[in-house]
Formats: sequence, C-alpha cells, structure tokens
Amino acid sequence: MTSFWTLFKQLFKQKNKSANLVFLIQLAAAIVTMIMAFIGTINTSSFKFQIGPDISLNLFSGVIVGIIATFLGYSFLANPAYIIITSWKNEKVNRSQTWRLVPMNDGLIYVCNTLSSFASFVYLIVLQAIMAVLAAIITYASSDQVRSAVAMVLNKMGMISSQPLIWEFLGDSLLMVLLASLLGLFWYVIVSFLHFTSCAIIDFLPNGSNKFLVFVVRLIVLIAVVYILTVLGNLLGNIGLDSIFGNNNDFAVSMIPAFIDIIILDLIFGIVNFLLINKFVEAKQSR
Amino acid sequence: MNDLLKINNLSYKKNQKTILTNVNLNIEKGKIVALLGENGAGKTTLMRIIAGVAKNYKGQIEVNGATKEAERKAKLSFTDGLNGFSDSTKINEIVEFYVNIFSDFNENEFEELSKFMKLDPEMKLSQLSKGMREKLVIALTFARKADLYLLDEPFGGIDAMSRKKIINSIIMWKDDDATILISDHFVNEISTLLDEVVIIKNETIFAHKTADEIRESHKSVEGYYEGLYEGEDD
Repeated sequence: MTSFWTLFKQLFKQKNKSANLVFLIQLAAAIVTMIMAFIGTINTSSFKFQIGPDISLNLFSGVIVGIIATFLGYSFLANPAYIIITSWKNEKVNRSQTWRLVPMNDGLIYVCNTLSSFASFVYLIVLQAIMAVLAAIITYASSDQVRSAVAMVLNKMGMISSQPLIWEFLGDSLLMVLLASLLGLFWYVIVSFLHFTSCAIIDFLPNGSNKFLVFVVRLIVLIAVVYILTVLGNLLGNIGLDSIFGNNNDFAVSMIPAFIDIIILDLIFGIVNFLLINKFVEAKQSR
Repeated sequence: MNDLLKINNLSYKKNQKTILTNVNLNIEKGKIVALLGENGAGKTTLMRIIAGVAKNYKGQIEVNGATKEAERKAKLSFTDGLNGFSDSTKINEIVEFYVNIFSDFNENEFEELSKFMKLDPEMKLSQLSKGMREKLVIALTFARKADLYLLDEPFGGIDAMSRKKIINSIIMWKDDDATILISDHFVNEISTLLDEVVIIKNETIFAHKTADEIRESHKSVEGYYEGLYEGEDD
C-alpha cells in the first residue's frame, strides 16, 4: 500500500510546477509593465521615485520596488488563475485511472490531491509574501527619508496605542492571508463536489453520453449547490457566531465567524466528496 | 483450491444498461488466462472492476485474499494508458513516479524490459508512437512484482514482430506464481501462452475452459472462439 505522505509528495511536486510557473509569469509581467511605464518617461540622471509627498527613492531602488509593487498588485490576477488551473488539475487527477490505480483508498487519494493543491497554493502565497518583505527591506534600506518616515510613524503609533499597531497590522494581514487560503480550499472542495455529483448522476441516467443531458445535469447540480450554500450560510449565520464575535472592534476576533463558517463548509463538502468518490465516481477509462 | 482470483455473483450496470450479470470466476495461481469476447462484451469493465477503478458493482471480488479495493490494487498490476501524465512527461519521470508509488516496482527489471523494447528514457510521451507507448505500458506493468497482471488488449498498436517478441518475454519474465489475465483480439498469437480461456458473452462468463481441453476437442483456441459466434460449438 502507498502511504498518504508518499502520494502527497508526488502530487505536491506536480502542483508546485504550476505554482512556480504562475510566480514566474507574474514576475515577468511585473517587469514588462515597469519597463513599459519607464520607457521615455524619465530622465535617469535626475530621477527620483516619489513614494510620498516628501519621500523619494533613487532610480535603482525605485525600479526594484516598482517591480515588486506591480508584482504584488498582479497577485489579484495570479492567485485566482492559479486556483482555477489547479482545480482543473485536481479534477483530472480525481478521475484519472493512472492515479486511481495507486494502492490506496480512493477517498484518501482525493484528500491527498486536494490538500496538495492547497499546500501548493500556500507555497505560492509564501513566495509572494517573500517578495513583499523584500520590497519593504529595499525601500527601508535605500532611503534616509523612508527610514525617518517609518520611525516617525512608529513613534506616533506608540503614542496612540499601548500595543504597537505594527504588530496588530501584521497579525491582521496574516489573518487575511489565512482566510484567502481557506477560501482557496473551499473552492477546490466545491468544484470537486460539483464534478463528483454530476458524474455520479450522469453514470446513473440512461443515455449518459448525450451532451445536452450532461449540460442540463451540470446546470441543475450547479443551481442546487448555490442553493445549498445559501441555506448553509444562513444556517451558520443564525447560530449566533456573529453576535458573539462579529460586533467586536478587534478585527481578528470579528473574523472568527467567517473562519468557522468556511472550515465547517470545507468539512461538510469534503466528507461528502470522500464518500462520493469511494462509492460512485469511477476513474475514466484510459487506453 | 489455490485460487488467486475469486469473483462471486458480480453484476454491473452503467447508464441503466446491464454490462455484466452474475459473473462467477475462479482463477488459480500461476495461470495465464485469455479473456475473450466481442467489442463491448465487458472485458475491460471486468478488468476495471477487479482493479478497483470501476464503481457501483454488486458482488465480491478477492485477489489473493484481498477484498478491499485498496488492498486489491496493491496486489495487481493493470495496463494503464498513462493518461494521468501530460504529453510532455518523459519516460524517466514516469519511472520515478512508479518507483515512488509502487513498492513492488523493480527499476532494474524495468531497465531490462525497456532495453529489450528499445525505449529511450529521455523520450517524452508525445514522441512515442502508439506501438512504443503500448511497449512502455507493458514494461511498466511487468516491472511490478504483482500477484495478478491484468493486460487489457496490450498489443493494440504493436507490429507483429514486436508482438511475438513481447509475448515470448512475458513467458520469460513471468514469476511461476504470478497470474496473468489477458484480453486481446489476436487470439492466435497469444494461444501458445495460454493455460485457460474465459469467454464473456451475453453479459456473463459464457465459457471457462483450459487450453488443453479446447485443443483436445477443437482445432485451436482461435477456432473454438470463432466457432462460438458462428453457432458451430456449444
């Protein structure tokens, strides 16, 4: 029998290729965007990169920070693109005879597949976070004005709060990243649920190879999933988590209901997917 | 009885169409068995059910004592079309996958087989002809030390000369205890290999005979098989 960890490593290696590719494309796009923005618009000898009313960087630091800032801006395109690519890959693996022949329970193959995509998504986010830290370090190190501005802001923060706001800001940012990752996992689970239920229904119905029938089944399943999610969302909203945590002034505490909701939905649909793939979802014939 | 494969009361439906009904089959250890039947008779389906990749069946399947799908998968090696890999995947990357995933995969044996079949490990799947791809599938399947080998029409795109070479190699590389279930249209060419013949017809096991029995009462395995469809025999 193959161990969970062995299969996880194998799948993670595959998904990582996509993460690295998305990262490189994102970086290349940022570099090209910056080059296009700079060409013909600057006088290099006297150039100053303005990042505030009285704060500027020299050309080199400005270009590097500009590239990284553009790179981070593109995360809003790159991350959804990565999630869509990997959810498509997940479903290919879930129905692939090659992978389903791995000596392991089919449900565990599904869990391994989904978690490897999730881990790889977290890996992509970490790469992007490293770029953000790099941008912050370069900006801080390359300009006296930045250093004095940061010191001034930190001083002001220290004066208005007993707890340094910088840590609160970092904590909140980390929470947002965690929430984004959990939403990514939620997307994988829902896509698999849509895929598995429609496959199970199509295999059951007579004339399952009819394309129109397949389309209608998928549409009905999609509508049903949206309805189920709405009902579950309302149900979770009604259990009172919002009244306990939601009105809190502390951002981290106010986020707890959202975290719990997503984790509960991930678990419910994940367990249903586990059962569906074990009992009803066949591997595609591979010749 | 020293049965390696036991199938009891197996039935399978898909899209409300019955494919297999009340299939009962026992195969002993060490045998080479042909699974014959017309296109669409259910040969591939039966193999997929044994391999644990087809669902929604009724009945019991046991491979060397293993009844659960995951355990069965560990004890058998099934010719897979390798569609789980992209066309840009190199042969040596597929081998690496097999080494990591299947604990019974023997890399040295694969090297010998791939040399015998003239496979270049640096070649990508997209560069392989249909025949070369079939050879790779056979090499990967036999490089595993399994109790049961399921070969689903393994010689489809392979030319006659290579087919003979591969058939001879199967006899050479096969462990005495290993059992092979092979479905193919080229009955004549594999008939020399066979210990038993299983015919699927009318959604079930229509006949299960030893090759010697057939040879005693008929001209050849091929003649017997063709006769079934001409209404000459049984």
